[in-house]
Amino acid sequence: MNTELKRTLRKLFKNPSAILGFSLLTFFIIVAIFAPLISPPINPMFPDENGNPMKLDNPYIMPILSWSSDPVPPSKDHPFGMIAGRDILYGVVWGTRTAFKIGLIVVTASTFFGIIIGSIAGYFGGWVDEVLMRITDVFLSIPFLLAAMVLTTILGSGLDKVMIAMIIFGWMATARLIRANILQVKEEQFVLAAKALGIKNYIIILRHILPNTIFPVLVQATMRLGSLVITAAALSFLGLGAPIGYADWGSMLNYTRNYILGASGQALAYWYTVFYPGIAMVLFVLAWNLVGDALRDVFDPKLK
Amino acid sequence: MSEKKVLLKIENLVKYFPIRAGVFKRIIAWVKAVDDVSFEIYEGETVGLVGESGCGKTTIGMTLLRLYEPTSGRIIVGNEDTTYYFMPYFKAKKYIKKTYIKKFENEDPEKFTGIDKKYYELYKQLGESGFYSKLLSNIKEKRSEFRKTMQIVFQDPYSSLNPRIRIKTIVSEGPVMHKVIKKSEIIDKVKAALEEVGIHGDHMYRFPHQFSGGQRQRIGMARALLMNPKLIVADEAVAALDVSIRSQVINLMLDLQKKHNLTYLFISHDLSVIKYISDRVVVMYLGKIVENAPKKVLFEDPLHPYTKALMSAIPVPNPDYKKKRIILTGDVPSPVNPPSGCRFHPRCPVAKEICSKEEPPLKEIQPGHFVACHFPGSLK
Repeated sequence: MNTELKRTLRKLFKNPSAILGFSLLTFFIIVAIFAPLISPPINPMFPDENGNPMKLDNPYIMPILSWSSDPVPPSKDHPFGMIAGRDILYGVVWGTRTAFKIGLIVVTASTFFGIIIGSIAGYFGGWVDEVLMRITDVFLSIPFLLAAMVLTTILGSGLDKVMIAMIIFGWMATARLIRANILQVKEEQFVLAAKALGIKNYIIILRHILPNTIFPVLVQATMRLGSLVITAAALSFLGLGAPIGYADWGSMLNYTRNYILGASGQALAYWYTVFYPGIAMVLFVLAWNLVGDALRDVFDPKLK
Repeated sequence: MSEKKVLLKIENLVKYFPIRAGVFKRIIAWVKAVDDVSFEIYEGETVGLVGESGCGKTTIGMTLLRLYEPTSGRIIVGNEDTTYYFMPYFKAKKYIKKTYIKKFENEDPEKFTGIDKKYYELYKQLGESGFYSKLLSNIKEKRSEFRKTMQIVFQDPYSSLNPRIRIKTIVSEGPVMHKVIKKSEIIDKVKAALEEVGIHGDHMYRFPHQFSGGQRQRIGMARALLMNPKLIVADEAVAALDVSIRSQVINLMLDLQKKHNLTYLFISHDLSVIKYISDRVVVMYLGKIVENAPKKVLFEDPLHPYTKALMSAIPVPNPDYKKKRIILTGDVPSPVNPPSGCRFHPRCPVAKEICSKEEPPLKEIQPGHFVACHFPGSLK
């Protein structure tokens, strides 16, 4: 097993796009971990009784540093510039944490539900399969953005509500994927042997079937992690997601709506308002996609 | 024969697979994989089950192990009807009602033999509801007991072991679950079982991909063996191995049989293996038994034309030996729509008119030699 692991790792690090993916991901992870050092959660506008800048109650709410809502170009104090009185660097840095939070929670939860539903459907087959797959079809037939909007109208807006919506409408692809894999594996002789030994169904699923079917799902989950952040950003852009001032790439783009077209005669006057949150998002998605590709290359025996 | 104890008795076993089509998954036809098959396996013997691909050999094995639910028929192990063990409660109750209660109410009790007689006495003693609850009680223990009686060794050594778990777990999970061995004894017992089949005991911490095909098949044997079964169904267990390894595994199986007093149902399409290993041979054609006889009798004096044709196809490793081969024409018909009468008649060189009309029953021509043919022995 050890030699195999070594071989896998060597293969992984011979592939330039895999290296790029993992480096980008590492970079984002470092930014997320060291966010308080890169952009301290303080507001220099309001000194406390000792004269030090005030600590923020909630570091995810970007401090308002200026009363002018117009964009301020990058300067030494604000290297990414400012918009709506908020530092763009601060938003991008703390937005990395938000992105990870959204991605990991939503992907973990929706993959979990998808695996449960898909494996029950695939393993037991028959009418159980039929019923569960028709429910899956119903969920798939609803356009996601519409469903998320309706759901946030019911639940109220907010990042947690958006995440709930994304979980509720995000498990279907996983369920279908795992079901298809299970249909393939459950006729394997080692599964039949386990049945002949009288092993309980849930142990057969957990020990014999899932470990042999889970990898495509992990790859898909990795790829989905990136794109989910875009979806969340889209919802935030529409005003359904994070509350005003929340450090989230989508909400940051929301501020730029009035400045996207630039000033008259200068199309690129406010480029920094779109560029920095946008590039963060693009690189984040790219990182996960490259990592997903690399994992697929490693786990898929057909591509070996 | 009669002094030997019957371990397993299959009565009128039928297994049909539905073919579904359309939006509502309506059943449009049935694949008649096994159609009314009866035979007995005595304790300690090796029964060879032969036939060409698709004749239902493997289906019989799988149905015996209850990996498939039989469509109808009875599977009697020792002195217990085990057919209903794996049915859901109400289905099992329905089965008991159909198979026993109706028979007990309508038929003459004097005629009952074997298991019917035993269950009739139970029925008289306990009454109808008592009879149900007696048969349906402790179903979990009964299932466990059944699993301990019968085990299977599969054909493909590469897919019969889970590639992601260690040999120790593969071999011990069943016995631990059925409390055949205690958790504290796992290492010792697994080691002993592996060494018995010729695998080094310390290799139990390895993964299946670290073994060769023959070794994996031995591990499969160890897995079955540690359950301490009476009957092992070997489903083409040596077909995937090359010839030198094959003989080793067969000899291992014979050694283990002597040591543990095992009974084998050896499913194979390879007549030379069957000839080597079996005490009795059952020949199948298109879901039916055509001939069932002790090995010696069957190989020297086959009575069914199909068996005869099969025998003539055994290769003889002698280039000077010229023998007459019986070449059958045509293909095996589809089990969805089998021929009327005798299923072999479209390909049979000696078929007469009656063969296409009447199905020949499986008759005992000599003691222990059963043939399903209207004109047994007519093909010379």
